[in-house]
Amino acid sequence: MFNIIIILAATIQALVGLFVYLKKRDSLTNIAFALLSFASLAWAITNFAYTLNAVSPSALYITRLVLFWVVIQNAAFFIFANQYPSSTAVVSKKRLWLVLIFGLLAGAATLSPYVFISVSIKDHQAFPNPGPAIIIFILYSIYTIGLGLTSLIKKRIKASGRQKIHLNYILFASFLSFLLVPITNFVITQAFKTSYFAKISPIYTLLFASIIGYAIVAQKLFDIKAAVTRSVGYVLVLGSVALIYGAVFYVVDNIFFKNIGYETQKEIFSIVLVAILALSFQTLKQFFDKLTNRIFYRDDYDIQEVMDELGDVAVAEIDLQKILNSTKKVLSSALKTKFIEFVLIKGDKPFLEPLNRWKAKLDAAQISKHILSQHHELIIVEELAEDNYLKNALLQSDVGASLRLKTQDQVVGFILLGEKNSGDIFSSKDKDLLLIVANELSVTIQNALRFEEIQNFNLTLQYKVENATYQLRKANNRLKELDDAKDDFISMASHQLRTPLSLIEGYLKMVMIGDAGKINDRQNRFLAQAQENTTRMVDLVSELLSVSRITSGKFTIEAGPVNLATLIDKEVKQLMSMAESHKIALTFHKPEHFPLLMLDEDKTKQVIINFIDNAIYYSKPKGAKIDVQLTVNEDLIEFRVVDNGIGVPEKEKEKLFTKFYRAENAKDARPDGTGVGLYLAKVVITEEGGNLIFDSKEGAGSTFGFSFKKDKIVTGANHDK
Amino acid sequence: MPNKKRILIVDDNEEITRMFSTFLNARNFVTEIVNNGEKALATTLVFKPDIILLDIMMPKVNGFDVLDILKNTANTSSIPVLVLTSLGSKEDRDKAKGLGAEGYLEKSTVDLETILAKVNELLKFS
Repeated sequence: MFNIIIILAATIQALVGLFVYLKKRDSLTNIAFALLSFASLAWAITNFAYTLNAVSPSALYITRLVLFWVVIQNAAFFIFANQYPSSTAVVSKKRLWLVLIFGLLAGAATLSPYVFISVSIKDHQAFPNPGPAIIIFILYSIYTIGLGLTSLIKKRIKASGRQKIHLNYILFASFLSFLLVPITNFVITQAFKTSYFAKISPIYTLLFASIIGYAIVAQKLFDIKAAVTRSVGYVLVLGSVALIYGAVFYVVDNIFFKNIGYETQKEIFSIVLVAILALSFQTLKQFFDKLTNRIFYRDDYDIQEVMDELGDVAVAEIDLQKILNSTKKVLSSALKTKFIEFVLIKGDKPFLEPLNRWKAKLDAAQISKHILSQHHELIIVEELAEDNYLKNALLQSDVGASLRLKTQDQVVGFILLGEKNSGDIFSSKDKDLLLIVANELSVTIQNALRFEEIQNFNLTLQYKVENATYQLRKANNRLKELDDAKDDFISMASHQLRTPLSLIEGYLKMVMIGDAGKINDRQNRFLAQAQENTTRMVDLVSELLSVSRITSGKFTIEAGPVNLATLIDKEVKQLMSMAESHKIALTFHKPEHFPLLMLDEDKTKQVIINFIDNAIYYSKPKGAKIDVQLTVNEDLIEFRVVDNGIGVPEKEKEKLFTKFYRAENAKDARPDGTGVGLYLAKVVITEEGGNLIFDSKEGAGSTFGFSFKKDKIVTGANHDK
Repeated sequence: MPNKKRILIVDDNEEITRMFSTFLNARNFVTEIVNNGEKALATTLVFKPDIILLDIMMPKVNGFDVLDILKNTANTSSIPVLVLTSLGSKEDRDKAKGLGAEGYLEKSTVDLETILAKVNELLKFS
């Protein structure tokens, strides 16, 4: 049984050798490995034969043959070790000839009687007795194996990534085989005079085969994984078919066809069984294919599945960051790289996200320029020429590949893929996947970039609107400040004017009524002029004071019983002289009986004066007349000042009652007006609970006035004062 | 001929007080002028006016304080007080009435004759 396992191992190794050779027939490395494998098989068989025939007379010849195969093996190992992994010859011809001649010499020696003179048998064990030529064999072995291992170790030190891992396995297997085998088979046999350990020596072959086999499957040594996988699957299928056929046939034959005479049935049964097996072959094969794929290709992925997943990302997401993260996840799980980074072109600048990996080491802009100037959209770093700036730069950052992202009209950026976790280089399938996804990914990312751009645009717009609003608010506040300053000035001015005016008014009055002695008519006329204008000024200041109080919230209506008819009559009489000097016919027909109304006498008086005053000032030079009317209707008391003056332009009517507003034609007629009279009239009348009356036509005249409801009438008092 | 009525004029503006005094003296009143709130009370006790014309806005002791003291002092509480001020808000008017002022006139809207009429009106009732 032990021997069978050894043979099996050697067979597997020989098969591996065959696959390796078939994979790349013209590669010297592969040829050397195949040679090594076949020599191992031959050696294992001979060794097996030796253990079977140890005591037979042929043992001597078999022993010599075992050693002969070792010579071949060593030669093959030497070439393989020096050659690996290059396809073309790297071993110098001189050295090759040296080894070959040395090998031929050693080979011939092993078959001659000078290496093993004879075999002595003791306790059913055979002991070869070495001759003088054994020294040639030993020297040869030390030379070949020593140089071979040295070469491998040197390569191992220089190697990186996947190469390093492969060399680790080869070195490990080689050490086991080429150091332990001579110890058990030769040194121990000779030193302790027992061939017992030679029996276990083929275990090293088994180990060698296993290690190399594992490296092929797990680490893709020699890149023959697929072939091995298929073969294992096929062997398993055939094995199961044979087993099933055998078992069924055996059972059926023993139970049903035990007695002779059923030859025909037996044949029919065989045919049926074969047919069934033939039909089930495909199913079985699929089953084993799946099984072996699952075992050998755990890291594999399905391109279509990856595409579908990326498609889902493109459909579900629009946010750039999310798309990049999801894409990273999908590609990472398929390709198993150390990292995946995106470099996107935003504006005209390459923008790394995130920058951390690169910040310290490299100039991102420089790298981007180099990558984007490459002809190929997919750059595999390993495949770049040596001593290339880009290769060195990318290797420094453990970048294994770069994929350009480009839509029909523009370059979106590129992906940087780290080296694969396994240390493997990017397979042709990986490359296919990357090239296939590049297009769709480019479009998806470009869309996301545009979306981001629009969002940024919106933000900018919002910022601008906010800024403009802020500026407007600032301007508005400034205007308010100016307005306040104006109000303050008016308040101050009106207060300061008030006292001197009172003094002028008071003393004028005293002189006029004779407190300072008798005055003549002429003096009186002059003084009357002075007094009239002082009154005007006092009224004006009062108006300004009222406006100031309205602004500061201190304006109040002090209502009491007022006889409007008497009040108007008095004011009309006061203004009569002024009207006459303007050649205006001012008329007022005082009603005989008029009710008392609850009004603020002083403020209402100001309104009445203001209306009549305006009518005088804004009259036309010829044929001007002013009619003051006071009427009591069914439910309203109405006061009107009707003139045929310049009127109010249509477009200015709306603003006429606002503070400091003056119509253009009014400014022309009277440049010194304040623009507060009508404003004050509106406030006073509204505060008193009445309504303004206003009607005008430019160039034809105006009507100003107010109306009160009859509930303003003081009950129980219905008489003239 | 009845005794001349005595009027105390309290106002920090000397020109105004002089004019009031000139006007009232010409109409058979005896006037006394005080230009600040501090002197108002003492002068009232000595001068014994029949009516007081009182300004509100004065430095240090203002008219409201003077009014408050006058109306809370036994010898002076019955003397009518006509507040003559440039303050025109309802609050001020109410405050003066609340403290016991018999009359309230705004300087900005009255002339000498109005003041005279008001003085005569108040003296009639006292």
